[in-house]
Amino acid sequence: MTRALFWTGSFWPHVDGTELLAARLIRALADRGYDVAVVTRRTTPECAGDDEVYVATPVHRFPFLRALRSGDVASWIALRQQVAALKQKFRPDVVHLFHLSADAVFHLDTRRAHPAPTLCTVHGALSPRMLGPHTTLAAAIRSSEWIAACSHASLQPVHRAMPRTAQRSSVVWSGLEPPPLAPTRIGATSEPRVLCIGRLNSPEQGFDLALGAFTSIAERYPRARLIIAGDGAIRPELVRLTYALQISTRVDFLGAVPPSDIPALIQQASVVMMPSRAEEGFPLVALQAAHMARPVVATRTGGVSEVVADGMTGLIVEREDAAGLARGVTSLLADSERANRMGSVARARALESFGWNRYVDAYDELYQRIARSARTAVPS
Amino acid sequence: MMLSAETHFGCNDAQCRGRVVDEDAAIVSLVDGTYYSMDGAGALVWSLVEQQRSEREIASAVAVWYNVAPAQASADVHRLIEELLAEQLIIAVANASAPSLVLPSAPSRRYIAPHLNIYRGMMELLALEPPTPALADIARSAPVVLAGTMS
Repeated sequence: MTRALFWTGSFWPHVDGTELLAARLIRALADRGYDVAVVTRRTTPECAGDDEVYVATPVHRFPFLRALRSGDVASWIALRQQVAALKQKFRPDVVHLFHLSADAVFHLDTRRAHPAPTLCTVHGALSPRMLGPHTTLAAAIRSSEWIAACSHASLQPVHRAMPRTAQRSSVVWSGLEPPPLAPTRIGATSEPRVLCIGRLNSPEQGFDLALGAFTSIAERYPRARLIIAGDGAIRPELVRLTYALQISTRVDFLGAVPPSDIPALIQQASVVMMPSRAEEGFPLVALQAAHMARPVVATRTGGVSEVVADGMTGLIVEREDAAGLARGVTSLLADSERANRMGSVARARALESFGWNRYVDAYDELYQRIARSARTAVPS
Repeated sequence: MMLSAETHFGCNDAQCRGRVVDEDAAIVSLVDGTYYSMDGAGALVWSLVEQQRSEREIASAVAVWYNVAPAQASADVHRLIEELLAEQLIIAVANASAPSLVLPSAPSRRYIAPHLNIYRGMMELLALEPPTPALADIARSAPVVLAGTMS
């Protein structure tokens, strides 16, 4: 049985995209016979307890962020010693840095406690600054036996900063299982619903662009609604913007929506708008929309063009182009046949290229490969 | 100040905070949040810098404690001292007056040349950690419908 130490900055019950992928991957790996232990942060009060078990997988939570933010070196050392003890006890065959973040230092500083080959996954498009000399992320990537990236857009900055990683890296596109809810056709309606999904934490998500685009859409479709699913610090600012743009009665802020409710929400939409400015590695929202046979209109950022085939499964406009977003959405609202055609192609492509079993197979194969290479390595 | 093997070094308290526990050393820059770590011989070096020892005393201590050739210990310690100086984690100290160094007897430990791990960009990474929603939070927050949209 292969023992895998699965290291992820944030984990269940947090339910953002990467956390959901992590939780599902762990469950799938356990089903395939892996002995998995999770290392993650202790964050919210409900996670403040001792170690716990998630679907038969032990989860070890450490207050990494609190220690790092405090600058209290004594607590850093204490955490290092606790992580080292865990590694010596669990003796992993593979360490998987699934979500690269600041707490990777506690893995890097404890490699000698139990040397094990490391696989790291890059989920975002990292800036040259974050991959500069002696940065934590560069150290984590450089020390890994294999680097998997969720998209070519995520891998390219790594190759540019560390050309030697080209020999030991690959793209593993993120994947999701299609939801049990069967997609329905988009009907021609005078009350179309445009949907945006995401965390409202940063202007980088571009929700202000979505509101700007919607002012044009609302002129053309007086009964159209913009639905925003997600919550975060900039929500009040966005609400104020709806008043300034005089669309406040046309926009619904749903707050955070449970992952299980997302498919039904997409089903009620005519089109999904993705206005991001951020270099997201792999836009899971586009995949969720595809599963429900809904076209997306998205800005060209990060891995969007790897998931959305422009003109076939959705429309891609340039970054910051609110007018382009509006044109894309209204063109699809005006032609429901085209929207349905795009949605069908998107769903077929999602099932073929971004399937869940393919995703688990890829990590299963990588775990086996790097664990095998460590076993057969000649000690130097 | 001209630096030599007789130069005493101390922690640059204006720039960093460091601590050694067992054989682990952790240091944080108060200037930019860079995190440094050392273990084994590196932690021993830092603990001796805390006592304002000279480079020669530190190298001798490493040689004895790890039972390595004095020449190798001197070279490794010199290289590490230069790294610590470059990072402004230590400073040369004039008129250091530490008592004679007496090392406790202990079995020789496995020697790995001291190495300073440097982790830059921590502040930037920590700033990039937005709060993520938890299921309990979602359950607590009822969907909000703006005025004018309620039927």
